[in-house]
Amino acid sequence: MSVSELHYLSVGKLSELISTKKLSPVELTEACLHRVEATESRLNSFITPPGDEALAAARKAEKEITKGEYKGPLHGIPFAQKDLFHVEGMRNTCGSKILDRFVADRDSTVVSRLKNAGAIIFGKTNLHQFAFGPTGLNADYGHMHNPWDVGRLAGGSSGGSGSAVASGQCPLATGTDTGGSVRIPASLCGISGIKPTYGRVSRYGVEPLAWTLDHPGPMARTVEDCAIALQSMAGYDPKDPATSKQEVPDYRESLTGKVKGLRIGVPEEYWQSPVDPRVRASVEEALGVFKKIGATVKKVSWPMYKHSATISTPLIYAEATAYHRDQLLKRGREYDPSIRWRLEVGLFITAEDYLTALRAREAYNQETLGLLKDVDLLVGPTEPVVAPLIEATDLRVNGVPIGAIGALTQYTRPFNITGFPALSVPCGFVEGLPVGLQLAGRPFDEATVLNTGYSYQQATDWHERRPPI
Amino acid sequence: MPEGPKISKHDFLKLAALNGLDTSDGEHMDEVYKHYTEFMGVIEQLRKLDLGDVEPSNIFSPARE
Repeated sequence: MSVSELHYLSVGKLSELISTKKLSPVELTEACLHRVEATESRLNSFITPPGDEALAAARKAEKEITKGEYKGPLHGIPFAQKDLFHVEGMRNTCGSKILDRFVADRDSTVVSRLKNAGAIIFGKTNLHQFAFGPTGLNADYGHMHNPWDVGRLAGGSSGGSGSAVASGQCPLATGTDTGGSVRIPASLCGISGIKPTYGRVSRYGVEPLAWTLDHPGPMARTVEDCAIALQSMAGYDPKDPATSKQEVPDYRESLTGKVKGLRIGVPEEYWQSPVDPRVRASVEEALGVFKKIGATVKKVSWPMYKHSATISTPLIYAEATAYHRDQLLKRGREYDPSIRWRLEVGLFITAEDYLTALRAREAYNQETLGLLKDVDLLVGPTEPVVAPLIEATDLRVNGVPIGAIGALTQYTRPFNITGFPALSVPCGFVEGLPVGLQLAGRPFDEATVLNTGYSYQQATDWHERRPPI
Repeated sequence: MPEGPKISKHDFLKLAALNGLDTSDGEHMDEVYKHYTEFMGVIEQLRKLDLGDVEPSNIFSPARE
């Protein structure tokens, strides 16, 4: 099998080949390393690129499989880690030179679980500094570039994971999502990414941005691959008190490809926000696909949606500042200016305002839960635009400036407020750039969210398109 | 972002110093003051929300019925 065939195969297919010993994990890892070598100078996906340690892990996996100790569908699969996830013995910079020399002394729970599942830890991916931004710009380690057009943003904060997976550098990567940081790069880079329910995946050993809004999640080229990765990442962890003891279902088994009778709601407020009409057309076409395959689609009203920024901004500023305070006061000048001023503004938030935001969050959650009694999923765009140019100083829709942070998070942050699961899948292209569709469901019902995304991918081929890089 | 209630630059700098910020870089503090004023507009919107029927909570859980 040629290298070019290998690096874009799905995890489902790769694991089938590895389990039947038709493909060696070493051969696969070498193919991915070659792909990194061929593309990294144009993408800058990695802060610590994969190297000998990945090959050593691949050789170990090969030996285990040869001895008949096959562990499951992640065994021998290269899996990149956002540079927020601690990996024992590897540098963990959080995208900032402040932590350039910090080496983790233990694995995060996610990494530990992936290693136990036999995955090959495949380098540490680039990110928006401290995961605090949606663009994927990084002055310290260089900007992340979009494989569909390297002059455009990969998105953030998990932009390196997005570009690595989309370009075939690796089949899987982790991301974290505090206001959209898994789904934004998934949308802009044309891949699939799920932010699971808050408490479904442990945050232990993952550097926090805002601990009541942070969600680790997987990024992949297909929904099925997201399901495979999430299976190994999810579950209760005594080291993270926010994790849930709710049983983790078999996500792959839940991928039936059937959505007959599924009720999809489209919040009318989504179309009252600035959105590129070509993005809206792609999303409406996707809704048509759902109708064709047996789902019902109806308009719903979500009045609290318009308060998303009002509720999430004080939460994220207060929590991020609480985490960074000591370092900020000592080394403020070393932060990216756009992050520094947000953390400094966070110093002025009163306890009363923070608690009011938490109380408003409860009202937001109750209203959203109420909506999800009448429908099974809320569906709409992931992003109001396709990937903007890196040098763009502001984002515009129909010539009207909409502000990068607000615009790129307008559809994603509601589900960080609620903590409900949300998935992005590609649903079309505008001028050669991918459009993302967001599917959000009830708490701890990732199975329905994943099956709906999977069913969509069974009916369409947007996820099979490859960037020109 | 909408602008919030004004506090004077002078008072802002006093508060900033009390919060431990080095206020010697005037240009930087101008920038922080501008963003602070905008952010207070968000806080003003937050304070206007009618939350009288919402039970206060000290824990966040996505699945609370």
